[in-house]
Amino acid sequence: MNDFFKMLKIDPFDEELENKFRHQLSLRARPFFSFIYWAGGLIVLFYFIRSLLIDTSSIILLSRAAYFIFWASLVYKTLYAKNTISFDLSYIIYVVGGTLFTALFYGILEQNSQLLITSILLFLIGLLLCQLRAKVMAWVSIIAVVNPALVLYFHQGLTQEEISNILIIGVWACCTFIAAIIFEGVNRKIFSFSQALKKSRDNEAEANQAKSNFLSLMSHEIRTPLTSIIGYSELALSSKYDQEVSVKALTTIHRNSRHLLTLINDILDLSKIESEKLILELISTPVLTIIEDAASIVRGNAIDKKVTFNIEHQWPLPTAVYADPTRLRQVLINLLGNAIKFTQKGSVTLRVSYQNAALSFEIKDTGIGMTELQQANLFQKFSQADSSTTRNFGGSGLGLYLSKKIALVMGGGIIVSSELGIGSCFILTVNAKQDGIKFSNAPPKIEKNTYTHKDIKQVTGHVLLVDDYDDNRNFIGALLTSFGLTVDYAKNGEKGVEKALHGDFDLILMDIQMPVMDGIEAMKLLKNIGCGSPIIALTANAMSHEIKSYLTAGFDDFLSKPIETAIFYNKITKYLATNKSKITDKSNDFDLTALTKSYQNSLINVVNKLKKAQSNNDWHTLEKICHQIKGAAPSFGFKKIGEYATIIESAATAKDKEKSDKTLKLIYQNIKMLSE
Amino acid sequence: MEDIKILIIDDVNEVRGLLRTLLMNIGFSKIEDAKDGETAKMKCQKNKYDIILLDIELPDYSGIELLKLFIKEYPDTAVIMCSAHSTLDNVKASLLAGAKSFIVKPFSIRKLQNALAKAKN
Repeated sequence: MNDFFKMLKIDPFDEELENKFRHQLSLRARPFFSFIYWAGGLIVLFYFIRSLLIDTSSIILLSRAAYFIFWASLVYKTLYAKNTISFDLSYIIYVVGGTLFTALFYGILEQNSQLLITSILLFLIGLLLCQLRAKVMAWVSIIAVVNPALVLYFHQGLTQEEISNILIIGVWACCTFIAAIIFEGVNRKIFSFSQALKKSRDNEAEANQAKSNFLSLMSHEIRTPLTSIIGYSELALSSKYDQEVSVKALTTIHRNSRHLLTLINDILDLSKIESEKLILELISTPVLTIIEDAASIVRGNAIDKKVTFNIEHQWPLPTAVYADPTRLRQVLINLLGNAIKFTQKGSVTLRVSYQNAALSFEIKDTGIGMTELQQANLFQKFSQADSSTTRNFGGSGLGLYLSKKIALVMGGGIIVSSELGIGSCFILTVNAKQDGIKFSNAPPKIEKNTYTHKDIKQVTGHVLLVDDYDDNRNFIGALLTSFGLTVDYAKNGEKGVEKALHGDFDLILMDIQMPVMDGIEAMKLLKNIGCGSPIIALTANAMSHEIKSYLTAGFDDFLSKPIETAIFYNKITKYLATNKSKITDKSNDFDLTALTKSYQNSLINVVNKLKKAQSNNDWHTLEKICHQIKGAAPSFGFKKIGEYATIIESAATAKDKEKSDKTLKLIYQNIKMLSE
Repeated sequence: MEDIKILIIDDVNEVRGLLRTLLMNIGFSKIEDAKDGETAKMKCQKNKYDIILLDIELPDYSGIELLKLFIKEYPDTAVIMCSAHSTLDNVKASLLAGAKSFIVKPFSIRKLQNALAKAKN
């Protein structure tokens, strides 16, 4: 019962949604209306013509003519209106329709009970209309219940048939009214469900659209530098060692590759910002050193373009503030890089000042400048001043967006002022409000921290490089060799573990994603068996949480791909140095002469056993003896014998007579040489 | 290091000698050896060893079999497996059975040191 009343209680939507709902209902009700209007109209027309034929002066004629015109106009409205009939119109229809019904009702009572069908039709119109506007429903309920009651009350002496007709109409009206409310409830449910469905579809479509836009933009951004890389590499390959062409091609390939790397780093940052995972590492940051760092990176470009680049310090300045040094450097490089990029002649000036507990970096250039409209879109994702900028000056269109976000996270911001053709001025502010801040009046002495191949000192050591990608393995191997290191290679984790078990490495470089056995599993296995060599993860997955997971898994350190020579060299030498000092090689400190002599004698004795096994084709004994020799001989310095024993062991396993005979001959010769 | 008792199990006389020399050189003094599984079992019944260096192929026993037995009987003893084979199946089986480390012959003193360090932990 409660459910039934619950169903009768109708919660209206908000205004906008209610209008939508009514509109949809009226659209659905339209065919009913047209049918009922036509039918009702024809009946009215029929009675109009009939009254014309009977009595032309009758008042009924006039009223019927008026009804006929009314119906005709409704039919016209319903059929030819651009939209569906308006809500207000439907209200009027009902009120007039209700009056008409009352009039016809009297007609039934006083003239002709055959008009019953017309009145029912008219009443249905009212009930259908009540679906269009909630307010109308109240009227319907009053008219449906009160009207027959009033008629019964004022018309004493009605016949039994007439009273039953009125009652039937009353009951009919009440039922239709309840049915209308139930339909209303059902309609509302269907409507809200379809709205939710539409909304989720819209959201999905919107997300898909955003994804497609992003992918197509990325595809474009990645393809552009790749076009140069592929084109120039093909040119360099076909130019048959033309030095000039090769140098130009390699320079372009290098520049475009660096651009791709920047783009990918920016996308990673973007994903962090979008997922609100950009966490700053706030430490005491030597601001002046950071400024010099950033300046040293962009200065080269300024010199190449013959643009003057100055730094003006407004002393005193804090020596250190709590900030994220990497991010601060990133923003400064981006702003300074942009200023130099968009300045063809003139100067770029960085003015650093400290006021109101904030560090301010003002970057002023005499470049191309921007219009107000361009400035308004400047800090949006993927929007440079205009698309032609990308073609002329390059860039992902993410730099400023990221810089602004980072500045905001650091408690500051970036503001811009610019004039087209005159130049631009970007002001970066960083919160520097903290206790015990120290000030300086002079720039710090900066140690040179840029590397070239000439700076690299040769080092010694044995490195195992495990990587499945041939080109990377070859390149990194060549780089390690150029440092002076001996390199062993493995193609996957399993081979890597086997090599590490056999060899003695000062350092192991391990790729993460590899077939057969991945880097993490291989590293864990090596650590479990007590491999003392430091293992560095070599990975293209450079997201900070991934790096953290590698270190937690047990890697000693990580190096990200693509390789930055300076960072790579520093890390490699760090581990080689510590590893060397930690474990001192004492292998020459003790005397193994007696043991070696004894083993030498046992080898001479073993020849007879080998010969016997060989002649008897006793593969099992042959395999067993050689296995022992393989393990022991190299320990006493008989490496060659150990190698032959390995070959014979595998030949015996495979019962390869030819191979084993051939190698046995060699091992006999070697052992014989020992005894001489 | 003085108190650590080590048992070397290997069927090749010179390898046992070599291991003893290396271990003494590292600083261990309480070293004993056994040439096969049976001798090793007997020695283990009489003495308590901290570390056992166990060759994976012995004339009378398979190393893994012996390893399982030692782990079961003497859970406080750390076992380092030695083998001329470096197949990962052996390595994985040894670790699974409870070996603390696995070294492949021939090995450098550095590798032996690392294995011992792991075993001592």
